[in-house]
Amino acid sequence: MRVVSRAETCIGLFLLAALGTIAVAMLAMQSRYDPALFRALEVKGDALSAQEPSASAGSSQALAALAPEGLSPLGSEEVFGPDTLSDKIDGKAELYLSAGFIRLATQRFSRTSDPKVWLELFVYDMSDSKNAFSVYSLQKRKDAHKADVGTFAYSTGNALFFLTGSRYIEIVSAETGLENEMSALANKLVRATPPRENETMEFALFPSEFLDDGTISLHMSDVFGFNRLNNIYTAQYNIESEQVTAFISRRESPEEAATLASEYSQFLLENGGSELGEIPGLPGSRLFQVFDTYEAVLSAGPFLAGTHEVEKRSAAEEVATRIYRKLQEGVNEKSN
Amino acid sequence: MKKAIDKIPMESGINRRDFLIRAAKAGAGLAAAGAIGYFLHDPNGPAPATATEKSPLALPDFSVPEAGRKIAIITGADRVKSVNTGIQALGGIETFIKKGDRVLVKVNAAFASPPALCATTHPELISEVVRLCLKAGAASVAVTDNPINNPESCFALSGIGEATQSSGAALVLPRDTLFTNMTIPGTSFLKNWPILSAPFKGITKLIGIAPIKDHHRSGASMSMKNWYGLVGGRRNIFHQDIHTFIRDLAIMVKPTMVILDGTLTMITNGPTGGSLSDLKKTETMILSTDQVAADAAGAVLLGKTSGDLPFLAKAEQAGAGTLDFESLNPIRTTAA
Repeated sequence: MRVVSRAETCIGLFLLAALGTIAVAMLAMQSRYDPALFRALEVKGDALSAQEPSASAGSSQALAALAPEGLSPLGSEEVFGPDTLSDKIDGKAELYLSAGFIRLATQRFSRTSDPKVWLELFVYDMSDSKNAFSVYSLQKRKDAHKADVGTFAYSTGNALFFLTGSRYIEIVSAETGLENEMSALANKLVRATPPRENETMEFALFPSEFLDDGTISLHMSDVFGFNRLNNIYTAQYNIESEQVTAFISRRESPEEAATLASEYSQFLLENGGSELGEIPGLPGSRLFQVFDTYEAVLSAGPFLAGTHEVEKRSAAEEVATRIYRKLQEGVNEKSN
Repeated sequence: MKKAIDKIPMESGINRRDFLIRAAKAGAGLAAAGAIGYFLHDPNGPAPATATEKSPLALPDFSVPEAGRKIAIITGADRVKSVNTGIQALGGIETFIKKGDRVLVKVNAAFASPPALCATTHPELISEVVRLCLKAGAASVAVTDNPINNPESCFALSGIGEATQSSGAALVLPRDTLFTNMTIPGTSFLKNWPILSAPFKGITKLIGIAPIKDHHRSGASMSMKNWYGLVGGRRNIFHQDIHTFIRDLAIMVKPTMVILDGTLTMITNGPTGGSLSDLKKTETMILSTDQVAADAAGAVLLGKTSGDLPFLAKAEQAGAGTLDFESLNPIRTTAA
């Protein structure tokens, strides 16, 4: 057997001692773990340096530079990431985090002639336009007025909400009367972050007749209480004096759409539903009665669709039929 | 064959016997390391500190037994008149505040948001409550909160800072040195956790004043949720079980009185809101010595039931009050 030298023995003992010290230190540290002391780091960076490169949205551009005539930056820009979003918007953070949120940048501006009059700009980068539409649609105010800025926009008494590319924007003023300043700021922001070309979304597949297009929303997860139901567009129809909620979702394949339709049907049955059979003229569709309301579930090509919590059976069947025909037209056109 | 292998000369000078001995030792070493690792492995992670660990005492009980359990529901659009009428209905300010009392007012200053959006306690209401306390002979009144956003901005832009100081109260901004790690017996989460405790030193009465708001995570933000602002550290982790945490807050704080402002109620897009259209004129103010009863009454303004807000039943089960506020025979009157 080879004789181990003294130097090798010393090095070996040193390494063993070092490993032992590390083990003891780890044990000591973890026994003193205090979750209250661990706090997410703030995201540093520029608000407009996100994923959509544009000529004027480079890393040197800050929100303060967007101040239109008559407004001056009030304080400095703040940036929040997924770990710190709740530091700004508290419990509403979950809505954004479940929809692909990347970062929020905010900047306050005050009226140059009267610094007590101020507004705040919120720029949410939602990674893509579909995610941005989701948070926009789910928060849309009922008494909104259509606004002419970005791709989708509305205003209320004191605020302006709109989309531009993958960004959801809020401009909230402390009081009414700042419409012109909000509009000027919005236009500067849109020019700095132009939307991508040819952005289309599935909600164009909702049949337009009887549709209240202001009610179209995109729900990202746990839709209708079913955890497998995600990426669902909903819209309201006013038909037969009834308000009918319809839904459409494009899946990866016709097989996935059919499977999800089956799973959702099973979910309805397990939660108090009883099956009433197929809707006439809609092969593969299923109609359910859940307590006092009706649910239609169907698939057409890669689309899952249906109606939700409709009080009148005939209204549920009518809307489901209209949606099925529209989806089937699209499927047929594609196969031809 | 065996002998032939034994005789194979090895470059290191190790024969088969030495090799087997060394391999066995190495194997034993690895097995021992694995066994130690398995023995030390804690699949549950570090447990929070237990109530028996050394921890400062819980917050004092600020309730006034002789005032009894009461609730007043006041109708009116003027906050100052409503709070005066409400306090009078509960027996007058002298029932709660005695000469020489040192009063702490816990407001909701969570956001750097203008008063018009009702995301924070309205400054008019704070001024009036401070005035009433001082008039009743309070030796001092202090106003505090640990906001979600930057404290200086929150107190300045919400108008709370100016209202506090102009009405003669002291404004206590949260600093690291004002927090103490505390363990609150009977709670699930408040174990060795930083609490804004310094403002309570010498305090004899505690009044909570909060707006009634929709809340994306908990369903509602009212008087019990308002105590969230006494918690420090990485408190957003409690959003994962928000209803149990609100129960914990109700266990932690036993106030003299809570005041819920539903003059304008944020019925959508809470807790931040952002649009005047998120607000509904409910013209109601709720004052109670029972925080659970107050929140149960506030839920009505949000169009919600106790079933929608599980924290109400949890708080009741914990003995923090009753969600059957009608059992307290509410004093219903119009603000004079």
